[in-house]
Amino acid sequence: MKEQGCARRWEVEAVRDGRLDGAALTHHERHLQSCADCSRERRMFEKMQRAAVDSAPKQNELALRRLRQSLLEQAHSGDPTPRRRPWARVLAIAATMLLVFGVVWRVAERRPDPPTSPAASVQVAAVGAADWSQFSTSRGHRVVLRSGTLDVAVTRRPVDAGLVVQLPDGELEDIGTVFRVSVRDGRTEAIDVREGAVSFRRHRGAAIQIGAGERWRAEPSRAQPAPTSDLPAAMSPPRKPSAVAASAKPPNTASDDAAAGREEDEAYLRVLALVREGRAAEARLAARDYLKRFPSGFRRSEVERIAR
Amino acid sequence: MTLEVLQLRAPPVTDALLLGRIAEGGLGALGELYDRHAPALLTFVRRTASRPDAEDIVQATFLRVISLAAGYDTSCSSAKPWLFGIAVRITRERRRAVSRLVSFLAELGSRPPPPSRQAEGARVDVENALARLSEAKRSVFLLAEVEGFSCQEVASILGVPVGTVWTRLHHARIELRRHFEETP
Repeated sequence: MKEQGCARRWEVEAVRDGRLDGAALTHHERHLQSCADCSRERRMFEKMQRAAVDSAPKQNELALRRLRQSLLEQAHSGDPTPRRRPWARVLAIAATMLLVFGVVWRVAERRPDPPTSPAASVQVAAVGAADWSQFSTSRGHRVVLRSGTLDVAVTRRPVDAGLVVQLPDGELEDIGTVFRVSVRDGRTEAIDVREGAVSFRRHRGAAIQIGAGERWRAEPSRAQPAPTSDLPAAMSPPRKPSAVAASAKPPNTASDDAAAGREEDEAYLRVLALVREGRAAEARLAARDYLKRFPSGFRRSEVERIAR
Repeated sequence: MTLEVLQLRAPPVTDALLLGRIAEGGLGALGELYDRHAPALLTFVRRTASRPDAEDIVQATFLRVISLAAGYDTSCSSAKPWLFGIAVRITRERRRAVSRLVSFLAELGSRPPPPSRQAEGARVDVENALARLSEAKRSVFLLAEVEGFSCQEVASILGVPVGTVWTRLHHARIELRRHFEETP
């Protein structure tokens, strides 16, 4: 049978825990004077508290003194304060630096690997018998073609290093390209570009940019030939210093002379056309382009005036 | 006469002041703080941790005070709750450590048989009753009823909400009440 007590008995514990204050506390104190059940409850709590206090283990004064002595000795010798441990800070700094160096070294070490991996972005296939080799450097992938014909397909992102085909008489750099290059008797014989463009830099002479659909063939006379296109000339897209980026060296043959002369004429006429149309800024740019391409051109003095 | 006046006017050396000196490296202040609070701390720790560990925990508490003194909230009049909080954390850390198992096994080998109620006095009875409480309830009860901390202070020491303190205290009292009601 359950004991029926005062309904406000819970207040005794609430008071001890500090959960009652103000008017509620005053009200409880008044109630306590008249409620035997709550008074008994309070006495029980006080008894438990007294018993817990009284039953506390007695302190051994000698043990306390011994502990004090030990504490002060350890505090004095051990220097447990962080500010008194400069080696800990030095150690932390050294560890941090080591970590930073480790990360930097790791990043630096890994950087050249993926973009220039030949398996990932460069496919080279010999057409028939060819003497060639390839290797990777920190600046990109290089293919050395000594003789024969290679089909090359390069797929790369703009941030990747490019492919360079080293030729006996120069080098070929791709610009996102599928092309074929042939070498015979120690000189480049032909370049066919199917996609993208290549820049052909010969040891002697200016660079030539060859675009998609264009072919380049070596002249029998070893003169600098111009690229030709499968497309009609009118349909070919305009190229900047491209088509033939003009030669700084004087041509060796009459045909070269004529070609160079035609190009100079075209460049000069273009400048004049722009001037006549009143497009001064574009004319100035075209004039500068003429001076750059034909530093000793026939109309140099006149074009210099326009370029200024 | 002059000396008495000077003594009356001298500001009391508070715990905050002592901790400020400790933070500056004053070991004398550490000794004074120890004299003030170590007895109560040791009593409490002896009843919540195993007896061999108690002195180590008290020593570790005061050693940790040296590194924590600079961060002490000087607005608190007494450092006692703060010290008890450190001791509770160290006790918990030790419990988690593997050494606890070693200590327990060592203690097990040398532990005397549990005293019978008839043979022992009332003090042992209460200790046994307290020992039967869970560690969480025992800590709350001892801090509130023996050390005289408010429930808010107990909550702060143990790092629990005050509602949890009230609940644990309530259940600790119910369990202890059974013991006291059985005892004449």
